Amino acid sequence: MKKEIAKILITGPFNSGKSTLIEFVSDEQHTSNDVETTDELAQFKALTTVSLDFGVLHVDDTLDVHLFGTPGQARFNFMWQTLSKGALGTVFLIDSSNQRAIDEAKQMYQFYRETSTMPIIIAATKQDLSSAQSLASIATTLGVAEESILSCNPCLKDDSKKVIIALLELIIKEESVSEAFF
Amino acid sequence: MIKAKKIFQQLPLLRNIIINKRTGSLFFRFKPEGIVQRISMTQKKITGIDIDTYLPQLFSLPIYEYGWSSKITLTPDSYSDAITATVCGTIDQVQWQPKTQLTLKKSFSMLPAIQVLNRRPEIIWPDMKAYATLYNFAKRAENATPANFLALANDNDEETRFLKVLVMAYCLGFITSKSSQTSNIALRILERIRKV
Repeated sequence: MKKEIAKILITGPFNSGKSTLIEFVSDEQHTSNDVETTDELAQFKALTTVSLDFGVLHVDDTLDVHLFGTPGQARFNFMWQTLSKGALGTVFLIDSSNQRAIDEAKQMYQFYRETSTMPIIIAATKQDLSSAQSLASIATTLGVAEESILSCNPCLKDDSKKVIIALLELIIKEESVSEAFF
Repeated sequence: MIKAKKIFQQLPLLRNIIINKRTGSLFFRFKPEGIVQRISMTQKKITGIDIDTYLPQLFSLPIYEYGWSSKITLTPDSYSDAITATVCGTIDQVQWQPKTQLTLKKSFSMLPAIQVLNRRPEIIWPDMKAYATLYNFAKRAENATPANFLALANDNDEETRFLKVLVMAYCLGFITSKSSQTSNIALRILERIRKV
C-alpha cells in the first residue's frame, strides 16, 4: 500500500533550535547540512544549516510525516515558499535572546503571512536566558497576540512535542471552521 | 423576531440529508406565520410540496424556519434516486435573480479548497462541460477554492453555469473539502506525537 506523506515545516531565524526540535520529534533524522558560519553571524553560531534538516515520523502503516527544517536566514525565504506547497503547517521558532534574530524573525514572519494562509505556530526559545525578551515584547515586534506565542526549550523533548501538538491543534481548529459546510 | 435564514444555512442541511440518505422530513416555512411545509426525503413526494417546488423557492425567497424530522420512518431502501435526479434537474432549470446569484457566489467563495470525488457524476447533468471544468480545476489547481473556480468564468452566463455546477455538486456530495482530509491526518499525527 502506498504511504501518504504529510509535511510539516520547521522554520525561523538562525540558532533558534530547529534542528534540535526535529531530532526530538522524529523517528529518523537525516544529517543536517551544517557548515561553518562564515558571515557576520559567525559570532553567534559556529555551524549553521545551509540546506535542509529533514526528519521522518512514522505515524502508522499508511502515513509518514516529513519534517523539513529550512535554513535560518531570511534570504532563504524562497525555500520555505517552495517547501510550503502542500504542507500542513509551520512551526516558527525564534531565539528570544538575540535582537538580531528577532528582527530577522519579523521579516520572515511578514513574508510568510503575505505569501501563505497556512497555520503557523510561533515558539520563542531560550526564554531561560537573562538576555531573553519577553513573549509580550516578541509578540509586539511580530504584530501578533501574546497568547499566540509559546515558550519552548527544544532541548527538552516534552517542549518540542508541545509545540508540534499546538500546531496540530491549530490546524484542526482552523479546519473545523470550514468543515461546518461539509 | 425570527430572522430569515440565509441560503447557505440551509444547503448544508440538504446536503447532509442527501449524502447520508437520511429518511424523514425536511420542513420549512417561508413566513413566521406561514404553514409549515414538508418534503419527504424517502421518495420524491409524500405530502406537502415537491422538492422541485421547494428548491426554486429556496433560491428566491428567504426562509424563516427550516429543519429536519426523522419521525417519518420508511425503509432506507425506499430512498429513491429520484431525490438526487430531482435536485439535479431543478438546479439546472432554476432561474435565480442577480441578487441570489451574488449571495450564492459570496457564500461559495467562503469555502476552502475542494476536491471533486467523481470524474463523471452518477446523474444526468446537462452541462457536463462545466462539470468537467470543475473536475479538472480541482485536480490541477494549487489552490482549488470555489472562489478561484468562479473567477475562471469569462462572463455572467458562464459564471451562472459554474455556480450551478457548484451548487449541484455541493448538494449531492460530489465535492468535499480538501481540509477534511487535513483534519483527519492532523488527528492521526496528534495521536502518534503524544506517544513519542
